[in-house]
Amino acid sequence: MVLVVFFEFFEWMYGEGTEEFLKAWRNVHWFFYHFFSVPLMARTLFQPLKRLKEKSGRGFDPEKFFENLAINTLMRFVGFLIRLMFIAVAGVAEAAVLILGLIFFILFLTAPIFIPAAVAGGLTMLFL
Amino acid sequence: MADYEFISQHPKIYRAVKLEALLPRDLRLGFRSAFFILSLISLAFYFVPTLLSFGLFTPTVGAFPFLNYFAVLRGNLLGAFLIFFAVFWFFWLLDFYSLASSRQEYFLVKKEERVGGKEKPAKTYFLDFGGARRAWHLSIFTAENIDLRALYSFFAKSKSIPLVPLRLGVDPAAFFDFVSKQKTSSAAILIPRAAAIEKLLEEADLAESDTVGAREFIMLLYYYDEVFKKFLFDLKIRDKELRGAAHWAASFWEHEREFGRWWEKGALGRIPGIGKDLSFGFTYNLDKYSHDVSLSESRGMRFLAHEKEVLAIEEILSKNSEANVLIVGEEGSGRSTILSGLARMIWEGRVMPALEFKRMVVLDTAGLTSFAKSKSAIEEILMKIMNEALSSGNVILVIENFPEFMESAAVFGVDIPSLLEPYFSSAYIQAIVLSSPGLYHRNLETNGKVMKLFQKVEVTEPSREATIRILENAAERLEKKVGAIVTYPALESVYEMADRFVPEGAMPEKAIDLLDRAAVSSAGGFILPEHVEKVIELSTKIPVGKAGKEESELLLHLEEFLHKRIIGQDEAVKAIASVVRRLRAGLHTGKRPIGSFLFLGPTGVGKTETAKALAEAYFGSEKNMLRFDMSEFQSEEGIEKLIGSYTTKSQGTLATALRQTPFSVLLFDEFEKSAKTVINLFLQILDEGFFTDAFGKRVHAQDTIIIATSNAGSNLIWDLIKAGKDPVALQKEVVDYIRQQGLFTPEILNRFDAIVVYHPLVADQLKEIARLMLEELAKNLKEKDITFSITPALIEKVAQIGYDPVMGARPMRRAIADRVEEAISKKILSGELERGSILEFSGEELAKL
Repeated sequence: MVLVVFFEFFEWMYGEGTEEFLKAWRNVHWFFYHFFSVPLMARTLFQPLKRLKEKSGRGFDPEKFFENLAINTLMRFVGFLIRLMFIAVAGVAEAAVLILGLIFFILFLTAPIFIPAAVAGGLTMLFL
Repeated sequence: MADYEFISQHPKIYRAVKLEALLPRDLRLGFRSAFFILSLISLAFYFVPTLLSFGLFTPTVGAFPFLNYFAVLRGNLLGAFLIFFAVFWFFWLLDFYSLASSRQEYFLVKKEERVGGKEKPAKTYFLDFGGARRAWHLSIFTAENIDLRALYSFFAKSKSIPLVPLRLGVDPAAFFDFVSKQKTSSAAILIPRAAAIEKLLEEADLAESDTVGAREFIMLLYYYDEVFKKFLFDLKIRDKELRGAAHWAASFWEHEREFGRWWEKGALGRIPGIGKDLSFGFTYNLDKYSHDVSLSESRGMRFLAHEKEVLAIEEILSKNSEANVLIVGEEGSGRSTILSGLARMIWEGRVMPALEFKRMVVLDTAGLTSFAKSKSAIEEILMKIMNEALSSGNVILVIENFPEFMESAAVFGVDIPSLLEPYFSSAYIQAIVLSSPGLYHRNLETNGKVMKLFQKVEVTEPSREATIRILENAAERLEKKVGAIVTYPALESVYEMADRFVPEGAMPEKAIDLLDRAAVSSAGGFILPEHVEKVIELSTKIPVGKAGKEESELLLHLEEFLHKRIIGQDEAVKAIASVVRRLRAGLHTGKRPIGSFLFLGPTGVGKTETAKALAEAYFGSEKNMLRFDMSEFQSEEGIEKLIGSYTTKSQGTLATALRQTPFSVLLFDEFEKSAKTVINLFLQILDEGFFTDAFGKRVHAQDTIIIATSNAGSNLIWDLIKAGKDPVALQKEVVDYIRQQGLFTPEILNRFDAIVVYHPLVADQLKEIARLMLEELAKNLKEKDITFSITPALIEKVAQIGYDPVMGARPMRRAIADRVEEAISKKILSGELERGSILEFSGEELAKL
């Protein structure tokens, strides 16, 4: 029974298991992309923060016009900065997932060698 | 026998099953967590010398010099980390393997067959993890004959099984005791594979499922193992309870397993994102008069209640314009669950693109109308709110009690539909408004604007099965709070009792509410049907717990019981008793009243007494008889007095009485005097067991016995009696007479379960009534330690003075009070009667009475 389970596990690992791992890795990437609302941030990148906008009244008042222009430009700039920050954090998270995912993927594929080697190496370092 | 074909003899799910048999998951998870913690600790210690080298912790090192040793031990710590991490990684991989391999899988195809001349199409069945484990233990793919005893060995080893006995309210120790005995001592329980498969598929079909799981296998054992059946039977558990408990337990474990596969999009997508608010505007004014739809109600729901309604709302809200929904449903029918379910779907991002990032906001209409006390103030605030909702770009406005809001605003002269029309007809805002069916029909259906702006979604009461699923979820949440296990029979009892004894409110809320109250009345341990019954008994005063046995006893001896209070009228008593028995022998659908009778006969012959006796027999006390003099309801306003008036806002007497005492005998005296509209109301009550009051709310009457009395035909009864007619023939002739005279319409006469004729009382019966009343007086005197001797002469005298040919025996009570009691009180006051004396009226005294 132990041997059956052992061989079935190996068979799975280098077939469906690898596929499953890659799928999980891809899903985690997808998750961070959506967790930081990247599509929404990108779509509304240059919009004012929280839709804060000064509206011009009736008629044309140059002073008011330039005042509004300045405020609205500032709001758009603040909105841009904050959204860019979110996108940047998402980028860092995605990079981390990529690197960690790669490390774990290597550990996954090499598990039959890595696990005994790590135990043997660990025992050597502990007692020798 | 079902013709089937396995899709695979070696399903892939068996890989996870074998691993589970070799190394159970709890053990694996235990090891995984332990080695993860150990690897973290060793890694942390490994970095201690690095931290110390920065010189930041010099004082600490001074205090604890042993910290310096970590520098010496670095190599060993790294070695320890490598070992611990490798073992952790091994167990992590095993769990990943187990979870990834345990998704449900194709099991078999049942070929098309002809059942009763009808073609049944081929059906594919799946095998879930619970089912696969049991199938493997039984070697279902390979053995020609299956030994079901193997299930006992499986139960003994399996962790998931204690949940089934727990859900049945059975002590797990007793269950495992039985299992271990069966495992070793019982003989093989061999059945052909085809028979086993057929039973498994039959069970899946019964639950309208296409998955064979743990529930199907335990039912297979129940069906073929008489010892198992007997064990459960002794614990008062039948197949219905076992099936329900097994389903509950199995769905819990399958959900846990599914939840374990955290890397799937479905699971990851449930974690809401951040920063979505940044792209939408502030809503200062709206926030002042609103709150967001609560998500708590839909937390941890395995079963999406009202799925059909939620999806319909999602679709309407996704339209380009006039994307507004009008939810029509009774309060408590799950309207807030629907809102909460939709809000959760939005929060988790599982909705159509048009609803992504939206916020569902409930407008505080009461606060708004009470704060703004003028037309202009209401309009101003509403416009501000709507403009904000529009510019924020992510608001779905929810208005609960929409008709009431329209009405209270109309008091100030504000026309809500006209005010909101420009907003709600635009493409930029979505709204959900709620209404009860009654107010919808009364106020909204006739409003063209409302009907144009909103698309209606009706909330239907969930089915029995769906309600039980909702209750299972509610029970799991409740268990965490109260620390007791809710049993499946308790859930069934909650459903039945709420359906039968809680006429107000709607399912599932009234059932959930009852479950909450039952949990409070239980003192830990298990929540059983008894606890549910106790709650119902306290609120209704009806002994429902033992209703079954006591009720059948009462029904069997109903005539005797009624005759304790009603003298003579044998035919009437017999007719009533037999109708009540027939109705209660399972034919009562629960929708119509328990029974309805029309009592005909002269005054003072026992009609009211019968109603009182029925109230006492059936509802525990004659106080549960509600009496209405129908001569008060003979004008056209009569109906308003009964069901209330919307214009004057007054409550109806019948509606109020039924809400306060839903379990009662309703006595309607002089029924023939009722107005036509009132009679029409009764047509509905007698037919459907409910009516709708003036405020659109349903009032239930299915737990009442309705008795209408009438003097109609009294003269004929007298004439027939004088002519020496047989009482049985009298019944038929009087009813025929009533029909011919047209005093009642045939529709109403046909609605009554029985029309009962009372005949005038004869001398002997009057004496009997006199004796009964004097006995009551004797009982009162006994409390004062006075013995009252009731002699035949006294009885005769009372019968004589208390009888009136027109009023029957009605003046008798008055006669006793005026004459007998008067005489006794004089004796007491004069000191003639003292404690311990015996009172007997002499001939002289009797003559003076």
